[in-house]
Parts: sequence; C-alpha cells; structure tokens
Amino acid sequence: MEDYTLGTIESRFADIIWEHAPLSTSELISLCEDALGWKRTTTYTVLKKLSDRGLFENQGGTVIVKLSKEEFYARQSECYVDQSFQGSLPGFLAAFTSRRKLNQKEIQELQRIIDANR
Amino acid sequence: MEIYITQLLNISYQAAMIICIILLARQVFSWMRVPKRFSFLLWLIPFLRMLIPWTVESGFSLLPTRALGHLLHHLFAKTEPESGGIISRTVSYMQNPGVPAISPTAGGTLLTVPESVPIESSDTIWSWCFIMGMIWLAGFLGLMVYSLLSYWHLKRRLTCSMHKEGNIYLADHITTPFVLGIWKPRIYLPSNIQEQELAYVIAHEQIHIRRRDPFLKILAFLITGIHWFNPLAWVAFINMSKDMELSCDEAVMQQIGGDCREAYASALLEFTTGKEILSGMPLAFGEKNTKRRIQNIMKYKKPLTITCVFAVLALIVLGIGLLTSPKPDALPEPPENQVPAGENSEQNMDADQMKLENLAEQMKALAELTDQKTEELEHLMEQKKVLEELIAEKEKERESLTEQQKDSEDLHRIDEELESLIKEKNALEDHIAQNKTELESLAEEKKALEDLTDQEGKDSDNLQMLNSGLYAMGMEEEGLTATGGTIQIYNHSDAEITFGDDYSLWRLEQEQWVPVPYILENWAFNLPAYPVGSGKMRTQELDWEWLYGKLESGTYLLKKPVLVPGEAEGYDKIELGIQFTL
Repeated sequence: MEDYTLGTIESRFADIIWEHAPLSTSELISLCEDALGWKRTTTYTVLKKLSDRGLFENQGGTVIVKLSKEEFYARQSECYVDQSFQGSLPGFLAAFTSRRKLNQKEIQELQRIIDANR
Repeated sequence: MEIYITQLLNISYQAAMIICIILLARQVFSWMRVPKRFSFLLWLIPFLRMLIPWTVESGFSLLPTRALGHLLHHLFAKTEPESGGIISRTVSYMQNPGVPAISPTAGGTLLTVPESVPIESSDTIWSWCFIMGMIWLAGFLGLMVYSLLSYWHLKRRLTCSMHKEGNIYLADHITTPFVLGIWKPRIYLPSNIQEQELAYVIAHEQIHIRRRDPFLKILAFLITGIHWFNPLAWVAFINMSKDMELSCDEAVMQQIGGDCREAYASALLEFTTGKEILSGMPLAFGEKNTKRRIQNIMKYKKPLTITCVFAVLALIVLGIGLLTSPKPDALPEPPENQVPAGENSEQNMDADQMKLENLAEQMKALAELTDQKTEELEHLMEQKKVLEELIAEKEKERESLTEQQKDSEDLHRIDEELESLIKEKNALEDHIAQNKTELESLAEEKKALEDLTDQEGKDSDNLQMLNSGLYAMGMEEEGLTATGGTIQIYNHSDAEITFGDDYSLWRLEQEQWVPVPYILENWAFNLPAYPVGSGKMRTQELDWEWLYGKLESGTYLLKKPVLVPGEAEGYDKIELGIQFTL
C-alpha cells in the first residue's frame, strides 16, 4: 500500500509546487528558500523523495505535477478509509456521524454525490 | 597489550564496585528528596574512574585493598588452561637482591639460589591476551559504527526540517523533541507540536544545551563504549541519562517558576506516545522515562537547604573515597634482631631442626649424667673393697686376741670397730645398688632418646627445609617419588603472596648444584596465580616427569619462585628452595 501521508513541512513544500506548477527547479529553490529557509540541496532531496512517491517529476529542470492536490487527498482519504474501516465508506460515515449530526447543507451535498455516482 | 588489558579490567572492576555504591547513594538521595542535580553529579564519580587510567592513593579510600589485583589473578588462573605443558606465557626469572640468598654449605640450612635461568618463550605466548584484545576492539568498533550509522540515519530523516527561530528547528517524522550536535547544538521539534507545549519543551532543551548535556552524554557514551563488556557500565549510563533528564526537569520548573507542574507534565506526556526512536543512541537527545519524570515533576518541591548541604557533603566524601585507591599494605618492618642474615636464619630455623637439636642436647646431658654415675659407682666399689679388707683385718685381730686370752676391754673395742665397719659396708652396698638402678634407668632413657633422634633424623636427612624468613616451603615425604611430589608454601607475612606452576630442579654433584637437564624442548610453564593469604599454607602437587623425566636417586634442590608484595606497586619475585633426597 502506498504511503499518502505528508508531514507538516512536506505538505507546505508540496503546496508550493501544486500552486506554481509547472515551474523550473531554480524557481522552486528560490521559493523554498523564502518560505522554508531551505538550501538548494535540501530542496532537491525532498523533491526527489516526493517524486519517488509519485507526486511530482523533475523533467529536465522542470517540475511537473503527476498527482494533483485533489487526487492526492482523495487517495489519502481512500487509504485512510481502507486502513481504518476496511474500505467501508458507510462504516466511515457511521463513525463520522456518531458524534455529530450532519447539517442540512452537508446532507444535500452528500445526496448530490450519491446521485452523481448512481 | 597485556598491560592495557589488565589495566582496563582493573579499572572496570573498580568502577563496577563504585557504580554499586553510587546506585545505593542515589537511592538514599531519592528517599531524602535530594534534588536530582546531585544524583546526576554522583555519576561523575564512576565515569571519571572509567575514563582516567591512573589513581591517586589516599588514606581515605573506601575501596578494598588490593582486591582488584587478586581478582585479576583469579581471573587469569581461570582463563589459563589446566597445567599439562600447554605453552601460554613466557616465564622469566628475576633475582631479587633484597631477599637472603640460599647457598650450599656443608650441613648448613641456607643455600644460594644460582644465577637466574630464563626459560624459552614461545610464539603463542600472548595468544590469550591477543584474543581478548581483539574481542574488545571488535566490540568497541562495532558499537561506534552502530552509533555513527544511527546518527547518519537520523540526520537523513531530518532533511525535511524547517528553521523556526534561533537554534530551533521543526522536523517531520520525528516523535520526540531532541537536541542534536555538540558544537552548534540544534533543537529539533516534531513539526506537529502544539503551541502551548512549545514553551516548556524549548525551555527544557535550552537548559540541556546550557548545561552542555549533549556533550556530556556523548562523552559518557564513549566511556561506556570502552567498558562495553561491563554490564554495570551500561547500568550507570542508563541511570545517568535518567538523572540528567530529571534534573533538567527540575531546572525547568525553577526557571519558569510558579506552579507549572501540571502543564509541564502534560507537555511531557504528549511526546510519549511515539516509539523510542533513538534506542540507546546518545548522539541525539531523546526524551524518555516519562512515568518517572512525571512523578518527579508532580512531587517536586523547593529543596531544603539542609538537604543540599547533606548532598554536597555526601558528594565530597564519595568523590574522595571512591576516586582514590587505598595505599598498598606496607610490608611489615622486620624486627631489629632479624636484620643480619645469620641471625635471621637461626631465628627462623624450622621446627624440625629445632626438635632435632633439642633431642641432641638432651642426649648429651644424659650421657654426661651416665658417665658421672658410672664414675661414682666405681668410686663406691673401691671404697667397698677397702672396707672389706679392713673388716677382714679386724676379724683376724679378734681371733688372735681370743687365742691369747686378752682382757675383754680390747676385745670389746675391736667388736665395736668391726660393728661400725659392717654398718658402713652395708650403707655402701645400698648406695651401690641405688646407683646401679639409676644407671639402668639412664640407659633406658638413652635408648628412647636414640629412637626418637633416629626418627627425626630420618625425616631431616631426607627433606631439608629452606626458607627465607617470612615465607617458607615444605615438602611432604609421603608421595615423594622420582616423578613428582607435593610441596607446601607457608606465608608468615601480613600480606598475601602468590605463586604459579613454575619451578626448577637442581641436583647435587660434587658439592655443586647443577640444573637437572630437561627432556623437552620448547616449553614453558602456565602462569596461573595461586594466592596464599597471610598466615596460611597452600599445597601444590608437582609432576616433573614431563619436564625432567624420572629422577635418579640423589640429592635434589627444588626452587620455586613466589611473588611477594614489593616495595613499589606490584610484586617482587623471590625464590624458595627445598632440598630432598631420593
């Protein structure tokens, strides 16, 4: 099973790429230096690490996104439901609603999703 | 190399004792609510001992005298293979000039030890200490490599970190805050740390840095690494680390002031859910031991001055008592009348010899008495003879008188004279009889004495004991054969002495001691050390067939080196000898 968890710092780095992609590595380095205080090597190391996990890719000096932010979090929640509720979405919803009732807006939104997938 | 290993074992052994005492002292401190700062300082003592290879001698030492030397001797005695000609260490003789020599004199009891005889060494001499050295090195290097690998691994994990402020960094994928680095220590906090915990955690870590704890911990780890084979060294390291944390917690509470115990304790608890990521690795400053720490935080009160005074005094006493070695036992001063060698030998003449001389004296006295009595008897016999003649004369006179019918007055006078003479003769005869019985009993006594002397003489003809005053060697006649015998080593001194398996045999040829030739080449004795306590005796069975073969009949000298406490540190080698006849 793939690992779809990001640390606080990693997600800040990923956010920079998702926001600016596609961008050159030199742009990324200067952005990271400003936002995170990282050196060139650190940026390269973390970029390599996240590219190995399939999020981004360095194509000849240009960083491109392989997995969009939405898709990444979709997979992350899928992964979470898989791990915690044996892949059962109703199980997850039951757990989620057991402590807090859904409001009308949430119910309507859920209904729309269900209708769309029918 | 052997020296280093011996030294290391020595120090480790001493440190083990110190650690046990410190653990006890630490428990006492805990009962008395002594601030943990003092418990932490206690650990300075064993770590200093483990680090510094020399010690200062003082009269205040709490450590047992010479105990470590003995332990090592026992250790080596155990490591050495059983005797049987296995070569393990070279033996070299060292003549000690201070010890009275023994020399072959006609009938004297002292012999001079001939020139020292070096015994051939062998290639495998230091194999055992080489192996031990290699094992130590492997353990030490293994530990260092493991530590560096863990450090490198951690460092790699920290790539994804972010500067927060000052020396504080946030990092993903770590579960506890810690300090990393010696020269420019950095505080790493888990990136998901909560704002309210931040103050306590940072205060705690900054105190570590201010007190140079990261450096101290790495140093302690290196020292423990040197003593990696000593479990107590690890016990010390672990407990030292705990006390370091506990005292740091106390410092945080002092610094923040007010009652911050609960908030601080909950901040601590926050970081205990994660696994122990650093597993015994001291290069980073992981937080552990949470339960103890929370208890300590909740119990914390401002320490009383008197408690601190007590703790300081205890630290001073333990520091001096445990970091200095006891002065070695002074060799007992020989009594003045023992100083000249001649008198010395007389004084220490062995008991058998004494008995024998006593017997001879008794014999002499008896012989004189017998002579006297015999002379007296002869004298009495002569007197008796004279008396008898006189009586015969008087009787003749009386007879002649009766014939001539002399007056009765003359007759009466002669009768009276005769009567007194006979009385005198009877008395003399009594005296003679008494003298004879006396002579008879003297003869009996003489015979008994002769028997005794014979017996004693037999013993002493066969085994002549030689000794050097405080130390002596004896030999059992029973079991003495051409291939071996049993010796006894006596220690009359105040200190322990030791001896090994080594000895040499010499044969008396034309009034000269010559070494008995070996039947082997390339051999050496094992050198275990058998201790002989003060006032004790130890026997050792010797089998010399493997080295000398069967001995021909003759007079032999067996010499045995013994280690006695020397003037400087360590031991002097002296040789004891015993003469025996086969």
